[in-house]
Amino acid sequence: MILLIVAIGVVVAAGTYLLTDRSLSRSVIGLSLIGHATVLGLLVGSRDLGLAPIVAATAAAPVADPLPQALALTAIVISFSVTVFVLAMAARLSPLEVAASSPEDVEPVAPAELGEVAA
Amino acid sequence: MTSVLSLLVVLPLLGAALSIMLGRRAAHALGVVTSLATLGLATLLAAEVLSGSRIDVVMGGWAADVGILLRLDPLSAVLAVVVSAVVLAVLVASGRHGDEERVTAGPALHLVLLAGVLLAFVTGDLFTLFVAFELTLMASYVLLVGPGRRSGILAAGPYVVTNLLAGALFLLAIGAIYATIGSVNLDVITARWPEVPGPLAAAIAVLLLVVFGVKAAAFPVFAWLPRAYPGAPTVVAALFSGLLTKVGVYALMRTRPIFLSGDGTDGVLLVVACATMVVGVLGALGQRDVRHILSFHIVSQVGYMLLGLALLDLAGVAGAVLYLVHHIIVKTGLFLVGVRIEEIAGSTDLERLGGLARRSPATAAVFAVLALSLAGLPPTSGFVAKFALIQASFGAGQQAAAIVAIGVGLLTLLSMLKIWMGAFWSSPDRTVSSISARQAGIGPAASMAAAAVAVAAFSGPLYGVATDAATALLDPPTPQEVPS
Repeated sequence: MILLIVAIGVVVAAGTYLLTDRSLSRSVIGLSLIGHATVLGLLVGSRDLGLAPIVAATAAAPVADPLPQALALTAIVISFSVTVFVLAMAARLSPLEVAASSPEDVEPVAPAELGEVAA
Repeated sequence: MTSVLSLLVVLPLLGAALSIMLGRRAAHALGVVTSLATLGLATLLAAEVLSGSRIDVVMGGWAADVGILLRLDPLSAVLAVVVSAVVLAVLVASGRHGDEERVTAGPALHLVLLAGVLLAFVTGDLFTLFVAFELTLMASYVLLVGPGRRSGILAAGPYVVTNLLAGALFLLAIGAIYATIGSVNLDVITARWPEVPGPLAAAIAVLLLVVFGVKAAAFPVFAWLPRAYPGAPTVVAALFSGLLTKVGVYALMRTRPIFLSGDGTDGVLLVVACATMVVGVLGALGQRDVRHILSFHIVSQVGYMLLGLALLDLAGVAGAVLYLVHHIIVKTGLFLVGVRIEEIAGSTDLERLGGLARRSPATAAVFAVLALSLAGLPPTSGFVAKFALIQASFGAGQQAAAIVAIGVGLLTLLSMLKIWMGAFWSSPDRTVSSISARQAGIGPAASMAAAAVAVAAFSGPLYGVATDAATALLDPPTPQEVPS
């Protein structure tokens, strides 16, 4: 359990470091790291540890607290979809995309501006 | 009647799913019809709640402390009606507005946003509140980024990153609360909160205060708002101004017992409230564009609601509830006036506007009603709401806060005068003339102004409702009272 808590601290620290970067793509990686750490946090907060909480399989043995697992699953799904969306935003900002997309889509871009989104 | 409570959330989601499959014009019509139906349903449910008891529904037949509890009490009932009406007005306004700035799935996204906000209002547990936040935010990200232009993405970047981080912190707080109390149900949390050891309680309280402060754009975590809103199309900013930050304020109201348990956090909230009011209004004074001015005023107005919450007594919370209702209506109305100004003059920059009072007296009249209301001059809705709050501040012995509130009201009037002089009054020759072919007209903004007038006219009964809502907030039902 202590190991898990230390792991959460390390992952959040790494995520925060990445978040301070100005480029959106690095921020996304930082955010998804922090997201993973919070999911770990949900699991640390769960009451009982035990077998997988599937009713039919294990009627007699102690099962794990199912609620944090349900919460973690929901959180993972949400953070996955949001991460994909922000990655798409970051991809739109990348120099390659600007070069490849259709002319009316592109606004004139100063080279210094590329990949810069203040977080 | 009680079993249809979940329809309040399901209806807009269904409308959104259907409208995605339709063409632009049909999708917009369906959006208007769906939000109208949601408004009707919310009104029916609110009538039942206000005349008698609150509605509790536990989804899927689980026990109340395990399953997802949906609850409609006076506060959520009134807010559900108001936000449905706001979304309806914004949808009507956006339909005939210029197409080039809009995303294809616009009406669907408006409806998803509405569903998320309604879910946040009716949910009785913290985790569903998290899901509702994310649902609302996801729709708002897409609306803000728009058709995927570089400028839209650059404006949305800080907004998205800030809110994602706040979401992660919220989840961390939920994990900590579950580990401590063993439930995410708000009734259970409230009932058992006094048992939580002090340092742990303070840590969780600070975490939640930061999370909801970011959502509500409170000082010092408001910086994302004045940057993101003016970057959005004005119609979208109108929708956001009425709905997004208010969900944060609502969440602060709901979780009040957690961070106002008397160990100094209430003092923090009072300082935060005053700082939010002052910083917001000063920011607005420095701006030269209608949309930027209005965006900063959202921050300032959120301060008033926090002030009511920080006062710790019934009158303060009732004032905050009244202010919330008034503010959603007036702020959306002002942004819709901004949409109208854009239609008439092709810009919202005060340097380029002028003489609108002569060109469109109706717009000027609607703006005047809403601006006076925002500043809080009698006999408008803003006066009623501000009077309730300031009286409550004096009642609670917080004279300094009351004086700050009055001063900020005067500065608000000053910046509304600036818009009036710049856009409506000065010489008409500066006006940029680019009237777009399809116009929404003044109708949506005028309906918001009419609603604001109605709030002022029926302020007596409304204050009664606000007091009911505040009573329910301050004295939540114990977990045993909830049917399982």
